[in-house]
Amino acid sequence: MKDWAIEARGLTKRFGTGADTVTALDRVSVTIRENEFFTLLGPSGCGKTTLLRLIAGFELPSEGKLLLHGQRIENLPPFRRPVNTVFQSYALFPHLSVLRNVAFGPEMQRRPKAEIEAEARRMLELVRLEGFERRLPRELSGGQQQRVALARALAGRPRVLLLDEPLSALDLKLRREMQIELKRLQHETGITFVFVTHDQEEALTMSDRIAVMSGGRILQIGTPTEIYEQPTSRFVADFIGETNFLDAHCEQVAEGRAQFRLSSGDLVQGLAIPGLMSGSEVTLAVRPERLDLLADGQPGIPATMQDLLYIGNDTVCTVALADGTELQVRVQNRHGAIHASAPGSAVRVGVEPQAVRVVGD
Amino acid sequence: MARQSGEGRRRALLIAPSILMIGLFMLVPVGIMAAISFMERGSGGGVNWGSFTTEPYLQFLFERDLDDSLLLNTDYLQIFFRSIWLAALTTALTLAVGLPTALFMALQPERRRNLLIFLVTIPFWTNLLVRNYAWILLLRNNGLIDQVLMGLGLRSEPIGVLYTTFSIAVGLAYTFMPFMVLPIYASLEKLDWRLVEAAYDLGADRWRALRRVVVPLAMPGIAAGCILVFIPCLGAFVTPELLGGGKALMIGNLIQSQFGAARNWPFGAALSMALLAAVLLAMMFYLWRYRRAPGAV
Ligand SMILES: Nc1ncnc2c1ncn2[C@@H]1O[C@H](COP(=O)(O)OP(=O)(O)OP(=O)(O)O)[C@@H](O)[C@H]1O
Ligand SMILES: [Mg+2]
Repeated sequence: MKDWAIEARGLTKRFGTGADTVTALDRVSVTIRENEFFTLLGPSGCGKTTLLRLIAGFELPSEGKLLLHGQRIENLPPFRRPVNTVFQSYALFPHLSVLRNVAFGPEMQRRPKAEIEAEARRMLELVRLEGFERRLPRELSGGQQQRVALARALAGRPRVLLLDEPLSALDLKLRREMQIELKRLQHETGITFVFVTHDQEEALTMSDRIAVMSGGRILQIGTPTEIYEQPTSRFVADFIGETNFLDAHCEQVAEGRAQFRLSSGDLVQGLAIPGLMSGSEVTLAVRPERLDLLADGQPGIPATMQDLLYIGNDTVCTVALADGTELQVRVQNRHGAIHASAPGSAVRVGVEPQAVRVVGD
Repeated sequence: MARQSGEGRRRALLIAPSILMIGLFMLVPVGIMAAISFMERGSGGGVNWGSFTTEPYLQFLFERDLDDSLLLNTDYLQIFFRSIWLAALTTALTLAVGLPTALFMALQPERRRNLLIFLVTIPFWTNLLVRNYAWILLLRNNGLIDQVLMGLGLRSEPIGVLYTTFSIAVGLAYTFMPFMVLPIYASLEKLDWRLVEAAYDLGADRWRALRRVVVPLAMPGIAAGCILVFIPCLGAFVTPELLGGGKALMIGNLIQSQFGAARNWPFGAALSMALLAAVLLAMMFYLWRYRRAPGAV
C-alpha cells in the first residue's frame, strides 16, 4: 500500500549474545499510515524505545523488514532516513543557541543559508518560542526545552516524527498544554507522528491508533475506542482502564451471541468472537461502568453488596456473586450520591450482552 | 561579621601551605631569574650582584657595532620563532594523533578503557634519553623505517628524516602525547553521546557530527591538551639537541647554553623571561577566548 508511512514485518531485536540474550522486540509487525498520530503504549521495558530506535536507525534489527513509504530502510544509517526524533531527554546541543539548535537539521541538509534561518524562525514561531532565539538550552525551563526539541525535530521536515515519552518530564498542567499543542502541530504539519507513552489516558486522548505492547510484542492495534471497548486480550483490558475478569464456561454460540455460565453458576449473554466454541473455558472482561446496579428482585445476577466507594462523579461498588467472586460496578451519581443498599444487602447486577467480551490470555 | 572574619582566617590558614609552596618554589625562583636578567655578567660565570643593566634584553634584539651604536640582529628572534613554530608543529602532530586516539578510547567498553589509559602513559616510563635514542635508531638513514620502506620497494633510497625539524617534532610529539590524549579523553568521557545520536538523527554524517558536536563539546580538553603540549615544547632542549643533531638551535638549547658553556647568565635569564612572557600571552589569549565561548566550560 502506498499511503503507509511505516511498515514493519517480523521485526526482531535481540541484545547481547549467548545466555545473556534479551529479546527486546519479538516479531513485531505493524503498519503506520501517513499523517497518523500513532501511539505505542505499554509498561516499562516492553520495547517501545527499542522499536523507535530501530525506526530512527540507531539500532539495526536482528531480523525482519522495515519499510518507510515502501522503501526498505533497515540498513540505512540514521542520517539518511527522513525520520527525526524528539528524545525523552531532549538532547539539545548545549553549546548552541536555541536558533542554531533548530537550524541544525536544515543546515545538515545543505539548504541555502537564508532558507535555513527562515525555517528555524518559522519553527520557533510554530512552537511559540519567538524571542528565545539567542538563549542557550540551559537558560530555558523544561517545557521550553521540550518545545525547542520539537522545533528542532520538525525543522528538518521529516516524513515521520518519533516522540519518546516527550511529556513525561513535565508537570500535569504543562503536560495538558503540550498535548494540545502536539495535536495542533501534527495537524498543521501533516507529518506522521509515532508517539511513545506509558500513560494510558494520554494515549486514549491523543491517538488516531494505539498499539499496546508487552514483552516485546504488539498485543493489539486499534483506535482508542477499539482498544478500550474491544480489548482482545486480558493484558490489554487490564492495562487500559479498570476491568472485571470472570471465569466462565461457554454454553452455546449462535448468531454472534454466546451464552456463558459463570463460576457462580449464573448465566450471562455476551458477544461471540470468531473461533469461540461452545464447551470451552473462557475469560470474560466487563468494564465496571458497563454494569448496572439494580434493586433486589429485578432481572440480573444476584449479588451481595460489599463496599461503596464515593469518588465524586461516580460511586464504585464492590459486590460479591454467589460463589464469592468480586465484581466492581461503577455507578454515575447523576442524581447526587446514590443511597444504594448498605453493605451486606442483596442486590442485582444488570449485564448487557454488548458489555461482555471474551478475552484471550 | 565576627564569624565571617573567623571563616576568612580559617580559609586563609587552609590555603597557606599551597601559597607557601607556590611562593617558595615558583615566585621566588622566577623573581631571582628576573633580577639576574637585569645584571651584568660576572667574569667566568655568575653575575655581578647589585649591578643593573638592560644589556641582556638589548642583546636579544640588537648587536653593538664597533662604534657602540645598536644594529638590529634577528638571529635570536629567528631562534625564538623557530621554537614557536616547532612547538606549534608538535602540538598539531599530537592533536592529529591524540584526538582520534582519545575518541577511540572513549568509545571502548568501560572495562577496556583503564587498560588503554595505562598504555597511553607508557612513554613516561622510560628515560627521556633512551626514548630519544630509540627514535634516532628508527629515523636515521638506513634506520628501521628506511629499511622497511626500501624493503617494501616504496623507496629506492633513504629518506633522511633524522636531524630535521620534523624529526624533532616527532620525538617531542611522542614524548608529550599523554598530555594531549588524557585531557581530551577526560572531556570526551563526560560527553553525552545521546547528543551525537541527535546529530545523526538530524542528518549529520559521522564527520559532521564530530565537527559540529563532539569537537566543540570537547574543546576545553582539546585546549588544555594543546597548552600542556605547547608550553613544555617551547622550552625543550634535550630532544632538539639529539633529534635535531644540534643543527637547528632552539630557544631551549640557547638558554641552556647561556647558563652552561657560554657562561652568560643574564642573557639566559633574559631569554627565559621573554619565553615566559610569550607563554603568559598565550594563556591570556586562551582565557579570553574560552571565557566567552558559550558552553565550552
Ligand atoms: N542496549 C541494550 N542492551 C541490552 N538490553 C537492552 C538494551 N536496550 C534495551 N534493552 C532491553 O530491552 C528491553 C526493552 O527496552 P526498551 O528501552 O525498549 O523499553 P521501553 O518500553 O522503552 O521501556 P520504558 O517505558 O521504561 O522506557 C528491556 O528489557 C531492556 O532491558
Ligand atoms: Mg523507553
